[in-house]
Amino acid sequence: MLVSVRSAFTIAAIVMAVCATGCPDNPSDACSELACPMGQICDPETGTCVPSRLDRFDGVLPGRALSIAAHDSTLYLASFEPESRSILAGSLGRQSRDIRVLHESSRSVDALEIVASGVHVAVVWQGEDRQLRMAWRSTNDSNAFWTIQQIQANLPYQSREKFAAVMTSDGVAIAFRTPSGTLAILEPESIEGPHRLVEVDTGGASTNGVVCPEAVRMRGGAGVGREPSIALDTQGDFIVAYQDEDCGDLRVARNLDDAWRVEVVDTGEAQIDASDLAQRSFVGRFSSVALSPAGGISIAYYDESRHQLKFARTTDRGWSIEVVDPGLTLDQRSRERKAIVGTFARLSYDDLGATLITYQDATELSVKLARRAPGASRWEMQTLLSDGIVGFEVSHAHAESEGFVVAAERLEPSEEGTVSRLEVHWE
Amino acid sequence: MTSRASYFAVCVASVALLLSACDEVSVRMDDPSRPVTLQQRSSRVLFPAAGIAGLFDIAYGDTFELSAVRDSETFSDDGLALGPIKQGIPVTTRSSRIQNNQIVLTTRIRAVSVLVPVRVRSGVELSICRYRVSTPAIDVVARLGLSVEEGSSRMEVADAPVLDVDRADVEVNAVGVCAHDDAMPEGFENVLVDYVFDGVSASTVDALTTSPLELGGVVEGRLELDRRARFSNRRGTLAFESQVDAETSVILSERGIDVSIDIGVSATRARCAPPIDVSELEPNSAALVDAESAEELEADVAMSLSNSLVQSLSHSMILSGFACRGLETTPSDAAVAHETSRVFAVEALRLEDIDLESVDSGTWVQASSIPGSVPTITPRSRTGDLRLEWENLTLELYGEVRGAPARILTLDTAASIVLRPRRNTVGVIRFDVDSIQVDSASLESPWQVLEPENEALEIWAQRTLLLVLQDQFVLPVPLMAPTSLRVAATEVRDDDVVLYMMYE
Repeated sequence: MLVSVRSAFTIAAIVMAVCATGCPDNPSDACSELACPMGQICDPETGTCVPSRLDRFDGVLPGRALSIAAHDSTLYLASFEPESRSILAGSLGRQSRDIRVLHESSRSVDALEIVASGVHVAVVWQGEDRQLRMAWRSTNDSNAFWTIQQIQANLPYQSREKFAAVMTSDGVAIAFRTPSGTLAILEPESIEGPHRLVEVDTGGASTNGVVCPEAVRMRGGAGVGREPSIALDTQGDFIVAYQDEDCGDLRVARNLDDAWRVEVVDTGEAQIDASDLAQRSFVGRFSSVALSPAGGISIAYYDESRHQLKFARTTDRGWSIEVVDPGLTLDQRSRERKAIVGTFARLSYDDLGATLITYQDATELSVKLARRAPGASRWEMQTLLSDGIVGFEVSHAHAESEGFVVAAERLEPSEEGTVSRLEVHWE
Repeated sequence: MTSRASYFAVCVASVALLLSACDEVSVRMDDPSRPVTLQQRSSRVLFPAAGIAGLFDIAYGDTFELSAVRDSETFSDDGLALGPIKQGIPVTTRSSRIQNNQIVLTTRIRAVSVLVPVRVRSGVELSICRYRVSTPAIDVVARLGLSVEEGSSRMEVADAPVLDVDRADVEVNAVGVCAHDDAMPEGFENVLVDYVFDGVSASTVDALTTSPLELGGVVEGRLELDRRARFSNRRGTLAFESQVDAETSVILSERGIDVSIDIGVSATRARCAPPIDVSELEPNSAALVDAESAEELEADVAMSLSNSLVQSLSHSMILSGFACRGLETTPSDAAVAHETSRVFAVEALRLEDIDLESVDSGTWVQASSIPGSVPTITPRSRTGDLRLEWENLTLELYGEVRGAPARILTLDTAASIVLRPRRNTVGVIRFDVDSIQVDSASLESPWQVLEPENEALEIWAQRTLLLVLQDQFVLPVPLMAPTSLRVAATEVRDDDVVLYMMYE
């Protein structure tokens, strides 16, 4: 049975390219197995293409490219299983799980995003042809049936890069860096699409007057939009945080009154308008944006010049920037050692309004949590996952039934190579 | 003065066995906060007799500044007033020798051509005529003595300089039309020539009366250097003080000019350095530089640094954080800053030798070094090198996993490192790592599946230390010469290290 379903799935995937017009809706135009898009099969009773029943994944869960999301009491997980090259997705609990094989890819997948709302849960990844794909289903439907679709043909998406997704009232919006080094967003009209491509930031001067010099742009050539993170403000408008890779700045783009406003939040120096580029540091990688309980914008990110975790938030006087974890610890010889901390940062607020940032300590190879209570000035640090190699990809979510859940990739070295495993911390 | 002193401080403070010469520091000269114990005669500088002319070449270049002023209102009985004159005359060569504890400096000027204004008063009328005094060559021979008073020293011209010139070759010609040309008194031309030659003598006296310390780039002072590291745990302070030794001071002899300097250093610990109590070292004085060696090597200046000075500088620099290095650059900002130090191709590390071939660490590896102790430095005159015994030096290696930096391993070593000074380096003293002997090595890596054999680990540690430390032992030349100094040769002696240097 397993073989036959997979075969059907594979055949469906092969013919996806020729089924450009999708499924026949009219039962009289009875479909054939070969005429349905990827992830769908032809229902002989109705003569229409319907989502195929996906195989259950009962193996050890991998942590590669993991992403978790929660809605109400359900925790959703997506990750990539490198051995079988399977994209996995489904629900996860302390005692139970229902994980399905969404797709078997012909190549490695480095970035996955899962997002959930009260209506839909969706997974976005990059397909073999480097086009973005999405699988979605209704939160009320069976986990065995997902609709899989290509988001937009010939999308200018840069390969193997992290992108960001957020569930809007219309569907799934995706922020990513284009091959020409600009930041773009795919705005959905509905969960099924189509998506509209909007260019958000081309790397010009920001609205707060900070410029990345053209000579640096030419030399760097990478542009803006690296490792974006996306959220919605109280009005449902987009907020995207990302790195300007050429100048090493943290930028944030906001859609205000149907116009995009781009600000440089942090250049890595006290003087944000430092004109001497040599005075700037490289900041803004692994950014994670969230809305504070008061409605302000907050961003956690990695300072790759000082290898520390930083946090920026809007205040009445503009942006407030602070170092959350400088990565300094005493060793057995009473030397204060510099650790690399802040990679794979993820930011959120809990129900009580506490700020939570999970991130990797790349020296200890552990996952840490920085927590600040509402109104407090101090951050409290806690190591959540350690012993071995853990923290390549860190994701967290708040589920009503499970509380605060942190998931991370654990790497287990063996003589045959390194194996990816999912490690979950349940609060 | 500040910039000279700052530069000097940076240079001198770097006379320790550091792991780089490219540190960014800020210098404070006021209100030093730490006491510094001076080590008597811990450095000796020799400006050899034959090289002293070179000091003037460097200081004054190839121009002789001729300046002669005569009171323009004082007219001779003939109603004439000469001058003033002020012009640079090209110097062909300078040469020096020592005779009776005086420097005999000969400045050769060729194709001398001096324009002299002559004002002529006739009644109430004043007019100006111009004459050119020219001669094929003048040798100005000046005898310089050294005056030392209350700790300060200066060179003075002992007698009036002697001008070696053939007056028969001297010509005086009017420039343009002079209405009073025919009215000039007899012997007027000789007056003009004497006026110019007197000016040459007076200018020589003015130019050569100078401080030998300033001339040679030796600066006295008290400074504190704050290391401006990116990481706060690496920020310490090095206090430095130097002064000319009161007892031996500056001596002019047949050898040349000898300067004895007392130097002291102390450190405010950077938090990355181990909190160890560096016991007071038994100070030793540097010996006089061998003048014959300096002459043979045609050195313009030679400098010896005592073992205890090298040792205490090394300790202070390590304690003040200068040896905590690495992670300052990322591949991305290295592209902007043009810095690639301590970033290596992963293949160069041969991780497979310690059974870490399974680490998918990307294409580059960064090394971070953290000293766990201060090294003992032993100069070895027989082999001409320095041996560092380092009880603990920790290395951390970082690779790139999933597009982010990640630690691959931590290596704790005890090692003996032999450093050999490299010849012909400009502006810096560079030490090559001649050999490394790993006395012990321990490896910690979460990526490791199998423990490597001890022997394999030590061989790997030896190669890795060589890779990381090579080209890191670089010291700026600790003299503030107005031009680059090339370290032509070095000598490791029982009590000190000697640098033989030439002006570029």
